[in-house]
Amino acid sequence: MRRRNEVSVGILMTAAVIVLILGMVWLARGGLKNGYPLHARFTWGQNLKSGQPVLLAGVAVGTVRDVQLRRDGHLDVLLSIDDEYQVPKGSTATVKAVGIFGDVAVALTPPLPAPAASYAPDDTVPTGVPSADIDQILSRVDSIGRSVSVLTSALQKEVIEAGTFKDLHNLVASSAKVSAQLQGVLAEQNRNATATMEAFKNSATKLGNLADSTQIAATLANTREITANTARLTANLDSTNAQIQRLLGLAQHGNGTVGKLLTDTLLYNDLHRLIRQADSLLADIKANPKKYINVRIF
Amino acid sequence: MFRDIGLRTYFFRDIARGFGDPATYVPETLRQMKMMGVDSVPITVIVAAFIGAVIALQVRYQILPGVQLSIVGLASRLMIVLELGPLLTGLVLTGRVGGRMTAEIGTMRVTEQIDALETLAYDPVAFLVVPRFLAGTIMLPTLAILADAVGLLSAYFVSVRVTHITPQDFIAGLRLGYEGFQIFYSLLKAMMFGMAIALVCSYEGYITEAGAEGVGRSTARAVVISSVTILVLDALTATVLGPLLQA
Repeated sequence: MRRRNEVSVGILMTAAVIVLILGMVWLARGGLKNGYPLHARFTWGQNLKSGQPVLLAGVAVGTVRDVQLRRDGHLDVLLSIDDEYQVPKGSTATVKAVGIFGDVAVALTPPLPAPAASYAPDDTVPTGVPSADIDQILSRVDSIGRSVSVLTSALQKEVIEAGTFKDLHNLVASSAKVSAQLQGVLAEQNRNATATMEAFKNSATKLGNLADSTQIAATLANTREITANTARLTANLDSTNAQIQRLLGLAQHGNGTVGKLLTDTLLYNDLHRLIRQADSLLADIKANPKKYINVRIF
Repeated sequence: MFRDIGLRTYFFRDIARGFGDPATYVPETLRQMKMMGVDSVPITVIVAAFIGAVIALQVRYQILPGVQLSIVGLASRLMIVLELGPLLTGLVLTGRVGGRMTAEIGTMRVTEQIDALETLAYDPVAFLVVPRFLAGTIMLPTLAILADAVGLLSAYFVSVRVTHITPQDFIAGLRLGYEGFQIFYSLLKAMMFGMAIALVCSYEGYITEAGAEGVGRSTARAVVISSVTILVLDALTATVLGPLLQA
């Protein structure tokens, strides 16, 4: 009985101790797996501690194993990267806030284009440019707030105190007055336009009446005759043009005298030969004139 | 009231004296450890499992839309490890173990078995109280570890299976802002609760009077005082050690 008590108590205690140790290690180190080590050095790592995730391009590839504060104020951070992941050479490490609860992670950003080589165990990953944190954003908001304040005071000074606002008010009042005047002018113009339209309508009616007179009819008959003559002339011109086209076609095909003149090369060759002979004859005459010109007076 | 304080002071003195006689309390300590620890595993596991599940469900359904879901893991860990794991284990064991402890010692008192031990030159405190004190001090943290683990596992399974939180979200929350001191805090509280249960219940049994009715009255009183003591200790530890838990 006593032995059974000892065994059961021993089993319970052992189980509790194992659960305690494994649970603490799992929570603190972010897992029970052992990866290969990489190092990084940061100037600022708020809330950075062991067990926090290491992200490569946003994917969890390991955990922070250890954070040591150096004498020079830098943080030496030991990263444990899971064996199945490779960190491309040239990747940079930054401390990034994750979520809204103040937790952070070490973000590894690979270079573009990604090189074929990877960091070896115990290599040091260079530090990248950290993204703006809440303090930086707040300081920018502060500076914007200061600018807005300066702008507001300038507006107060220039617009309200210097009387610009009053001038604007007067301008608006003047504009209203001008607008009323313009409306009057427009109404007058509208009345004039209506009267002009009325006069135009009357003129058009009168012109319509004039179209029935004999003079207009004669003018129209003359116009029709001129149009007919023009049509005839155009037809004649078309026929002449067709004849010329036909003649040109015949000439182009070498028919007739003109065609042969234009297309037959025989005449050209004969003429060419004749000119050359004439040239040689002329040259011979110049060289030996007595051969051809023999003038005897007596 | 001052008499009560004096009697308790004498009782604590007797316990301290009893530690000098290991031959008397060591064999009994193992039996008490088995009774308090091993026999309480089922009830501890059941309570922790349901508490973990309820915490996960409540947190999941109470968070506002847009809040990141890893808060379920974070809230489950903080509530179970820091508070409900050790507290509910302590309260459950007050009823299950404390009442039994008072009834056992009280019955021995009213049936004059304690007087008989004194007659046989046995130190009754070393034989009856010290083993229970040691067993409570050791086994409550042990059970609290199991309660924490079972509660978190239960919260995980309910979150993933019922409320469709991804395992990654839950585990990310579980690890968020974790400090080893949180586990130490949980175990320290459990240890204090174990000591309180053993001391209060043993004392109430040890001073039992007036027969069977007195045993019943002592048992009820022991359970009530132990429960209140546990809650007071819980508040005190939160007040004193709480600042150390700040992120």
